[in-house]
Amino acid sequence: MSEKEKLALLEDMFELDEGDLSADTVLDELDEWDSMSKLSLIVLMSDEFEKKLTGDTIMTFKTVGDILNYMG
Amino acid sequence: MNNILNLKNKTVLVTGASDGVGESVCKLISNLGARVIMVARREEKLRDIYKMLDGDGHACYSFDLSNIDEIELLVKKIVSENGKLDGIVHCAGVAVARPLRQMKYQVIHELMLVNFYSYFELVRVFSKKCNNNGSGSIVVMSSVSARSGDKAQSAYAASKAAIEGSVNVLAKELADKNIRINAITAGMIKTRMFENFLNRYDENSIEQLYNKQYLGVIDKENIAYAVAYLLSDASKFITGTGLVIDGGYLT
Ligand SMILES: NC(=O)c1ccc[n+]([C@@H]2O[C@H](COP(=O)([O-])OP(=O)(O)OC[C@H]3O[C@@H](n4cnc5c(N)ncnc54)[C@H](OP(=O)(O)O)[C@@H]3O)[C@@H](O)[C@H]2O)c1
Repeated sequence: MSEKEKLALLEDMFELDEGDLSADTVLDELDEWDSMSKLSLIVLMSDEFEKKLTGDTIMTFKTVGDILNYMG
Repeated sequence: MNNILNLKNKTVLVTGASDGVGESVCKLISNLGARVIMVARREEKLRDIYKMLDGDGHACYSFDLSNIDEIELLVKKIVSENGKLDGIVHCAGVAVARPLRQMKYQVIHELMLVNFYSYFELVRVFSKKCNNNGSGSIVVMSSVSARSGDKAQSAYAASKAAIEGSVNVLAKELADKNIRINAITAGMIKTRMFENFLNRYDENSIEQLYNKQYLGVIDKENIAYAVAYLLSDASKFITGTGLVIDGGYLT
């Protein structure tokens, strides 16, 4: 999956517009980065990437780029 | 003095016997004299727990309860090998955390198979004359989510609300057969399911949950005590209800 496609998945998850996110976006500066979106991210990782993301790993994510890296 | 929670000569089928609440129930009721019929998928876990039970005459059956069509055959086999049943405890259950936007029909369906349809089918089959001893008690695990679930728990909450909705109707239908049926409306219990649940949340959300359940997270043995009570004749006037054991969660 290309970085663009991965970003599109995240934008859809956060209900943001295309182009709103980039690898440099700092998660804590996003209003959408709340406990529900963290749960959504766990589901997304499991559905799309077959990865079992935990709350502890989520805490290590600082930027959107960290999430993209985790997607692999 | 006679033990009022005596379960001697009672044969009780426990689903979800390989872990968590079900495991505790098996251990406690065997100690109170019951013969325990254990059902879950993981055979090795069932065998390990089987060895820890008091008394004898117990049995384990490795079975995937999402195979609804095969439940009647399973119960027939159990009854032919162990005699008629006096009770059922449905502890098998799965939990899913999924926000609405990511919910899928298939996910709901798979959850309903284990949490609700298998329970319903077990009750239907158990209530047949050929499978029970002319009376009985059914206990099914529900959750505070049935009444006040948190975000992302809609499917799980619906499965538990379905249980509670059915219990009070079935109580009336089963009364003529001397069968009582009750749910346990539980708050957070220290089990594998609960640990998996915690893994999905950050510290803030967990703290909020703990604040709601102000008496603390429930030990599974404390649920087993209530199950034993509901199985025993000491509770013979209780049917059609959801017994709340929630550490204060709903108040
Ligand atoms: N823990 C809580 O905080 C909490 C709170 C309220 C209500 N409850 C309810 O209490 C009940 C017991 O939960 P628990 O915390 O003890 O969970 P648990 O430790 O995860 O145990 C669940 C049990 O269900 C069995 N199971 C799951 N899918 C099955 C399937 N397809 N076929 C047969 N057996 C299956 C598992 O055995 P195998 O994997 O070996 O099949 C296991 O023995 C559940 O109904 C749950 O919803 C739990």
